[in-house]
Amino acid sequence: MKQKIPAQSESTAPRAMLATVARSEAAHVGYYVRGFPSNVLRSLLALGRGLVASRNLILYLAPAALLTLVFFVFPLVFILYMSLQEWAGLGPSTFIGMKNYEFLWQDDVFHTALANTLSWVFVGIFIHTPLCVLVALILARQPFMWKFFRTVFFFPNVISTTAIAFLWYFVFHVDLGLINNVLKAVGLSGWTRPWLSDPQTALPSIETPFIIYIGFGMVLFLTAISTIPREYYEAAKLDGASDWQQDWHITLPLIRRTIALQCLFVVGYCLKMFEYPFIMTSGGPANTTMNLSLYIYRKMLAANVYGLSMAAGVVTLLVGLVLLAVVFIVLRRFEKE
Amino acid sequence: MLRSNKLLIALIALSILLAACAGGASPTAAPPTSAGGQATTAPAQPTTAQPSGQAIEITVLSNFTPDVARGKVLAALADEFNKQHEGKIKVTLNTDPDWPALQAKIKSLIAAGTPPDVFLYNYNANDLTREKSGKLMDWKPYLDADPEWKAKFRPENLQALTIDGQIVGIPSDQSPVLFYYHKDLFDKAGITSFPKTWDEFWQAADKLKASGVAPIAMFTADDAWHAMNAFTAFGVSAGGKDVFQPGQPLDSPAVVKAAEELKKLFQYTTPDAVGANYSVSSRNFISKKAAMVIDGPWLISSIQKEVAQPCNVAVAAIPTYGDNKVPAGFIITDSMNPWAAAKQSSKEREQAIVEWMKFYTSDASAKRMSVEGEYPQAMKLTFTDQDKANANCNMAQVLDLSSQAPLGVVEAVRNIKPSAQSELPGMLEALALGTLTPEDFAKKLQAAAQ
Repeated sequence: MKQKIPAQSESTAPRAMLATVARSEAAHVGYYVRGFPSNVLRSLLALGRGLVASRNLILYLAPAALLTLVFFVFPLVFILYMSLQEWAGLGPSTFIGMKNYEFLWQDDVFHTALANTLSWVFVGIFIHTPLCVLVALILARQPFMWKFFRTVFFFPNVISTTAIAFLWYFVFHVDLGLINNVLKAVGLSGWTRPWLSDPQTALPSIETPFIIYIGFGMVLFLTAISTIPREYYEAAKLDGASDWQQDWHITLPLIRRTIALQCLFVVGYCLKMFEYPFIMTSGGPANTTMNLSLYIYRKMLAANVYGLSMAAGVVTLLVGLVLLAVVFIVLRRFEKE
Repeated sequence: MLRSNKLLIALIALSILLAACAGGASPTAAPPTSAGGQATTAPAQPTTAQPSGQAIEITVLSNFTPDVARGKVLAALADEFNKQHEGKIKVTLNTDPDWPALQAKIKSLIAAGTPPDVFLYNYNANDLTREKSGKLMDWKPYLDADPEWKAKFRPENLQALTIDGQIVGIPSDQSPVLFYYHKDLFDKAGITSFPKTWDEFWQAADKLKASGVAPIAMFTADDAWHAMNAFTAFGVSAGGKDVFQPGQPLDSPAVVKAAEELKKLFQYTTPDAVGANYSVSSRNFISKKAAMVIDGPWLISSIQKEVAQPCNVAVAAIPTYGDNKVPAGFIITDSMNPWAAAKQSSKEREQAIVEWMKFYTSDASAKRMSVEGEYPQAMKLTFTDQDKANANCNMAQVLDLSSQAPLGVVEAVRNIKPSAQSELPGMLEALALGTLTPEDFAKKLQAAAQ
């Protein structure tokens, strides 16, 4: 039987509903991760009923809705439309249907860009994130000088990525680079190589700063670990569990939603990655470090094929949606277990 | 109470909306500097009529930063012009030192309908989007009304800038592209004179390599200018002056030969050439890590400032294969760079812009820019011995070689479509690394140019 919504005064219904939503948000760190689609849908439906009864709520939401419409929905529709056009950035455009997508399907450089972007995501999820977890687990035990290390590990995250990319360019530079000069100094000249212009080492070289700057993820996991009740660890200790066993059986399961959140951040960051390939290798050598962002930039501003670059943008968006769906599906599997 | 809450909510909502919209709305990101100053952004000036009685302000956008010779001369010319037209016309300079970025910015401004008042761009016969945008001022009525002014420019240059009966630009410069080399490094390697043929060139390159210095500086990123200059030199030597003309196939035997020679040349350059940009490559030459570079006269400012004995840097024309496909002593040139102006809605502003351009292209100003500014102008100029004496040791050689050159051929990259230009870095790197054969390089270049 359909439940009748009890009559409430116009002024209290939205306030009560908002308070309920606020309490739910505060109670669960992974509120938006667990059961994301159905929970949000229920909230939206409840919100819809409240909206009808409340003009105040409409006023609260109007700016955000308008901004989303103007700066997200309209540009998205525009990009979808322009991806079907041939346009040089000046003058009128010509409708060419799916030809831009056909070109992308056949373009080896686009395939390389797509593969490299997925490589960034793989490195981010399976190397960078575990490193963040590991460092967070160590620092959560508050060893000697843990506050100093926490600050040091986070410090690179407040420096612009452009500056860091330039720094690492000179670390890997074939003549002036720190790595080659240190190798020569310790008698390992045979190990020196042109890190950024060798197709085999160029991509791992530009991924290196991304892997080792673990500050943001570390702080995210430290925060999550700090919310775990201490009693769990005390009980486990009484049962004879080692530190490793406590981390494996208590900490990691309880921060799995934060791990999923970090994975979502990594996916977004890697899809937008631009500074490292642009500054360190310009997408070379021979396009071996090209990624989707740089491909879009090159096609738009160097080649002046705006329609093609927008088609590449649409594909990037679809790749992002697929990756997000994969993260949610994997998380749901872990939740069920 | 309820009514005041609603009013408060409405006010908050409106202020949030206005704050969000105001953030990135202004096209005038930074104020322009006066003549002689430097700005890194290009504000789009409104092309509306000035109130009468107020000086008409014109913004001139270029890459002539005040730290280089042409920037100093431009600033001095602007100051002189402003003094002569005080209270009536004021020229303000805006600069962006990065040439490819400047060109991209200009295209964006034109697309947005706010082209700068006056700007410098690189002409490309395969990319007439700027000329055909309909947003550029027509100079034809003013050129036709002043035949003496019109006669300063080569007819073929004005013809190239004529679109639908309108002349949309004024030819500015067409710089010679020559070999610059360190004589002391050549002496140390036992090379007594610059090679006149490519066979002599390879022998000299081997000697330089044996003496411990990279024979030539090159780079592959952005427009791969240094590498493509070499490619053009090889191609023109092998196939004649028309080999890279618009409409010619880019997979001809001469182009394949040029790719083969360029692939070989990558073994004679610095280890960081692959993936490097212009500043890395020119720095390698200035710091004597490389003995030669193929570049334009804008390099001279850096040579004069940073090389210990700048007159030890000599200039030479392009070698040939000795088979008379091209005359000995030929040179490569940059594309013609024209000055263009935004379409103005007021005759007064149009006339002010024309006034400035006539001053800039006067014999005195053009010679000053060519000699003191180290930036040869695409105009019919006759240099006296006194003019040449005013030039520094490097520029004097450039002027001599340019005036004596029997042939000047536009550099290949300037004549291909932007889509092909954007493919060049990847293709050159693949050629250098051996993953692309010269034949495939030429085929890919041809395909990209379609």
